[in-house]
Amino acid sequence: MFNIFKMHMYRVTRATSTYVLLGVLAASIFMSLGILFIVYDNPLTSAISLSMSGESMDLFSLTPPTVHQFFIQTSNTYLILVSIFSVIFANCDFTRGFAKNTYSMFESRRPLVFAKWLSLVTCVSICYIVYSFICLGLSAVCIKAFVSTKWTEYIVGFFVVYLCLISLVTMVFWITTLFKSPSGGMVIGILISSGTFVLVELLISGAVARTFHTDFLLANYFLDYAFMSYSAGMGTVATVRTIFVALAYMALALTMTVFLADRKDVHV
Amino acid sequence: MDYILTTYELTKQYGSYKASNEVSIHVQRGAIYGLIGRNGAGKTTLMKMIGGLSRPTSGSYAIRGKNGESTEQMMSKVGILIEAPGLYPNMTAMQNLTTKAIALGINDKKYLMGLLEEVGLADTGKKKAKQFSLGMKQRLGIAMALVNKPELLILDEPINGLDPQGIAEMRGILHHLCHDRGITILISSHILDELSKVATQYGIIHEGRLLEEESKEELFGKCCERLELKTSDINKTLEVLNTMGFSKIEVKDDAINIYERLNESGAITVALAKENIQTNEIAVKTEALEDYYFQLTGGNENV
Repeated sequence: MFNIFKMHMYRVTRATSTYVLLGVLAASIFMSLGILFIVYDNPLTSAISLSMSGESMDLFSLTPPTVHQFFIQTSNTYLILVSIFSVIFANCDFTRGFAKNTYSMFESRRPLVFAKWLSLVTCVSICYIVYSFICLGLSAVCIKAFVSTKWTEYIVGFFVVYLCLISLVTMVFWITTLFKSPSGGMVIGILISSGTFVLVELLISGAVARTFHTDFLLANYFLDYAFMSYSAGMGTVATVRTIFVALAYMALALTMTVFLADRKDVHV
Repeated sequence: MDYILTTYELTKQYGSYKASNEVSIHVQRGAIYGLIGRNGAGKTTLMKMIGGLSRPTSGSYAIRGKNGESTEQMMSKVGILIEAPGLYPNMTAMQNLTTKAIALGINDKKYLMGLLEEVGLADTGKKKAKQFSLGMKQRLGIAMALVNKPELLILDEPINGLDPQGIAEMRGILHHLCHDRGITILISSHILDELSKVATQYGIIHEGRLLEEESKEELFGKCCERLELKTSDINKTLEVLNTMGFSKIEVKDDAINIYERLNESGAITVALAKENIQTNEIAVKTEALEDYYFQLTGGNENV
């Protein structure tokens, strides 16, 4: 299994698409930084925020978790690019027919799927860590001063967002395996990562709450809503719930992918 | 008999359609086994099942006599090239080989270079696979199939689309692999003439079913030359032929087929004339592999 993992890492470092996506991701950092300034360095949004929540919303109110949340969760560019990468990664050996070379050598496909997922997770993890630090570093340089925050809160937040991200990537991995089509996987991956389904989830959640006369927010248990609404310092209950949701979806998607790969014929 | 591959009623069903219908083949160790069949006959389906790319609906297969759970260990001894070769177009020949080698835990550049030399691609350098000709891609596909040092090589239509030179090169490679390296080859093609130049064992497959399985000698025995004779009186003609000492005779419809002493058509005509039998037609005819195949499958469309 480790050899398959190494094989995927070898091929991903030699794929043109990896470097194209990294280039777009690098460019998106500056774009998102620009948007951050437009949103937070704006007297109008600051006034609206002050009147609505009683909290000021300007560059000098920014904490590292807020900036991190803005770049990773609020800005769709990062998630969409990660989704596109995941779809290309999951599909590449099938679209090119290379999967025939590996799938024919092993009777059991489980280690193949697991090793592929593990290498995808490794790539996304490296990207997440590097991207987070570059964004925070650049923001620190441009904003000059962050409002201090509890570092433990930030580290926990960083980890929870990471878990949700990996869970989303695993979902995209599963969908891509299910559809066996880059375009189909890409469309659904982008729809998930751009938060298009969040509105539907909130509508369902509202309907459930009205029907059963409860404060229970079902949307909290949908992965993309849980991911996009989570922020560091939300409290233990919300943090544990988000971790649970992320792990549950990840386990489900991975199990389904292994199940699919085990049963489906390789059509390349 | 030492069989490296045996299938037991291997079946693949899509809905009500059986792409492979209880196919049982027996591939001898060291043979080049040619699977003959028209497009859609079920050759690729059968090869995909043996190559582990497709799950059989029913039936099983044994590699080196091991089937069931034990087949798993044997899969590493099988190399495949099914349909188009699975290559990363932006990688060089060496990088493509390295990718598969890493998956197998092989870290030996010399060995991989040796494989490229074997298929005549050692000098491709930094040229990417997408810039290769079809023949080069097919040869690289074979090199990929050889990375795991297989005992059985499954090649699906490897000469399809190749020019005459490419076909000749491929034939040379197959001979080398079988005779010099002792690799058993299961090869499919619908180009019967070409297959007849390399294969030593044949399986004829039609509409998912295996119609016949025979050795080269058996098959070519059925495809031999004959003297076809049409006369005014078949019974009297047979008597004359018996008198002349012909024994390999077959009567088919209104003709008599003679399978020996094909250069004696003149003597036969004279002998028949002496008995007042009119010779309407006498000619040497050859039943090619293709004719035999048509006869067996009942048609010559779409081959």
